[in-house]
Amino acid sequence: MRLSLDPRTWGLGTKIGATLVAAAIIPMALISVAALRSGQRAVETSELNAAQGRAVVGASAVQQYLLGVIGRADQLGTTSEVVAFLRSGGATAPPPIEATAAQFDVEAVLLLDLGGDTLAAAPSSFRSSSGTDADWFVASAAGQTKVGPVRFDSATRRGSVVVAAPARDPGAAVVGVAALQVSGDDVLYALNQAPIGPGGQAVLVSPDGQIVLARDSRLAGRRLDELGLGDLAAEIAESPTGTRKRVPLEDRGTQVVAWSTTTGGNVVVVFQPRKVFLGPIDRLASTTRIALGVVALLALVLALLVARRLSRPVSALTAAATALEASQEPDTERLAVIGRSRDDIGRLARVFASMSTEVVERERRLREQVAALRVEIDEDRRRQSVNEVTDTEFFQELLKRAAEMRRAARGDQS
Amino acid sequence: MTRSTTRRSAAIAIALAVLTPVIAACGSQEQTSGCTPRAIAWLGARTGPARRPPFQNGAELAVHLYNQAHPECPVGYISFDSQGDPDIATRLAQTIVDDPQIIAVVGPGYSGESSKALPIFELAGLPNVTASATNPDLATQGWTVFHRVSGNDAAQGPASAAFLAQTLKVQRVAIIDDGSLYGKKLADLVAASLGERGIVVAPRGTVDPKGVDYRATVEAIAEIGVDAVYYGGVTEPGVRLLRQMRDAGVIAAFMGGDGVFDPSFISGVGSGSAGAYATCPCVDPGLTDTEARQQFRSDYEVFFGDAPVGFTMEYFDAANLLLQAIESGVASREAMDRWLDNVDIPGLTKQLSFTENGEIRVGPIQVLQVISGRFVQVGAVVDGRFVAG
Repeated sequence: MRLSLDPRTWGLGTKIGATLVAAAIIPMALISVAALRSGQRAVETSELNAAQGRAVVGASAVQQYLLGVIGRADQLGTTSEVVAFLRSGGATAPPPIEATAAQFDVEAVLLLDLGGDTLAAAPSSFRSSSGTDADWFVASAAGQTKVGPVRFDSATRRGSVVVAAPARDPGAAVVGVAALQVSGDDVLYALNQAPIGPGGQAVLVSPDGQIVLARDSRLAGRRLDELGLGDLAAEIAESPTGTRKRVPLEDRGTQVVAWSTTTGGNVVVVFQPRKVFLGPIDRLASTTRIALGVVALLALVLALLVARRLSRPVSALTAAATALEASQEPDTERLAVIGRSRDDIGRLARVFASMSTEVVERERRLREQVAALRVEIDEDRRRQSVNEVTDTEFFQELLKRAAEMRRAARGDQS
Repeated sequence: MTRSTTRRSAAIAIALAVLTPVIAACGSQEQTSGCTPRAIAWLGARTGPARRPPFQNGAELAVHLYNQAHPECPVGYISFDSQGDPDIATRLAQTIVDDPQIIAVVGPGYSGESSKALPIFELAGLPNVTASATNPDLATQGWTVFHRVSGNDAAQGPASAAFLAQTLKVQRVAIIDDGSLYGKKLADLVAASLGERGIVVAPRGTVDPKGVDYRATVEAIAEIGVDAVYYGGVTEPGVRLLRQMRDAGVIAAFMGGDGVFDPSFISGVGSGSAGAYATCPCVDPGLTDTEARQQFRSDYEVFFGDAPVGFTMEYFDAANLLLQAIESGVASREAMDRWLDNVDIPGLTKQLSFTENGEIRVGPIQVLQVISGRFVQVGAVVDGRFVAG
């Protein structure tokens, strides 16, 4: 069987069916698509706002945690033993900084003079990897407390951050710098205080575009541009807070991204997979598609049934007309069945039936008349030809001779 | 072609046209690339007072080595920091099960957080392998996803009691716990086992893990006069308890479970820690008796710059189990759970094979003592008897 996609070849029923289906399904599909689109936009907007909120919460949690560390660094920097030790250029007994170093989150405590030399460190083996050009050293030597950017150590794959405070007696000149290096894990913990949605994650990006803290080891230490997120890095560098609707994240699909800058120039970046929050609406879309399909099938079946019902009288009429055309008697019984219906087609069928009856009757009469006429004409023609025979002289002669012969025969007998 | 066949074919054409998008929508949208992104999660204390970084370092090292060997399809390692807090762990467990990439969990690190996280994992069919959550009850809750690569406290408790009774020959023991699910259960098991041996348990107390002043407890111990103090709990409260005991002049022997088997215990207590005992259902991390353990030791030192502690090797085994499963093609939580139920392979610490409850089939209890500022293995308890060496 050949599938015909050319509507011109379709039967009336199919045409009506297709029209009904199209009339029902196309507007419905358009309305559904429009509704789903607007739903998607609404969900997207709310998710962008939520992600932004999470980024801000994460940023403020990080800031709060680091403020606590700043407090401890400040306290250390203003401890009289520390100030005396630094003022003496390391000549006096080193202050007891081990207790500070033993705090859970502290990796190291450093006391530096204004030349940038480490005069005391706990643990004693610890030496700062940053030189005197480190931001925190420059700022603290100038009298400010400073949170450095979070650094990622590619050997241990751990992040850490230095918080520095100027060492001085209250109101006096700066004599050195007291610095605490805290574990990045604690910053990460603070960062994750923001309630992240399912499948989402919050990472900390350093001012130079490197992911320095992340739960996922595949992201920690990577640069944004290395992940193909150079655009995002540029945008983050431009604006302290913001959002982006579609960011492809390696292995994780398309994400909604929001960011918020926190202490030390570090940026909290929240990734939220689109699939998760668009999941319900995507499911709705596929349900709608299936529903549309089912409705279309049902409509098609119903439409074909209705169309066939509608087109059956028409085909019966067509058959009757064809019969008439071929001078045959149409199926009056079928016409009568159709004619029972009160609609236009019924009336048409009734009219057609009576018309065809009349036509048939008239034709029958005509045929009878013609037949009668033909009989008359035949009689006349026969008479004429008999006359033609009897009127000849030869026939008269024959008649005379026959009469004479009959007479003669009678006379012989008598 | 007759009219009716035309009609039928047209109907089929419409049906196909209508159904095509539906069929397309039902089709999978997953793209098939050579490498399916998969990850294992770590759940445990990474920060806070209960932090034991070397636990997760063991797991992290395993993943790192695996990914070095399989750069074409690395396995993600996602670390969730519970601070050892059961409430935080509950929240994190939900986050973990929500991530479809995660097909198994290493941890949780402690029994308390395990009791909160495991129901969530069970519901999601997400298998876990822990080493340091040693409460025996964890294996009897009907959690099919639960697996433990070390012995539990049901073995550790009686072993400690056997050591106290046979080797230290104690008559009266004070038993203190930190109120945690792990500490209390372990202390109860030791108390019950000592009671069976006719040894007096008094006083039996609990200290507040968040408190700093344990004077009341220490005074009670000093007043009664005991041969030994057994402590069930994690490191920090144990540090405070022993320090305050020694400061108050209590010279009774001190013994703890695997909760105190950590270098931070010794550094926290200081000189007073000398001679203290600990037990652990783990292998002494200082052992370099096999080639694999030597290799592990040197890899660990290169990577982290320090030495492994108790359970580091067990967690290395735990993560390695999961990685071997992934290497053999396991790609779902369900397949991982099945794989773990049937596994029987040699690990770094022992033969790795689980009972129906998810308990490891073999696991010795080591006894360790603080000698010259570090824990030294003095023997092991096997079948209720202490064997020196």
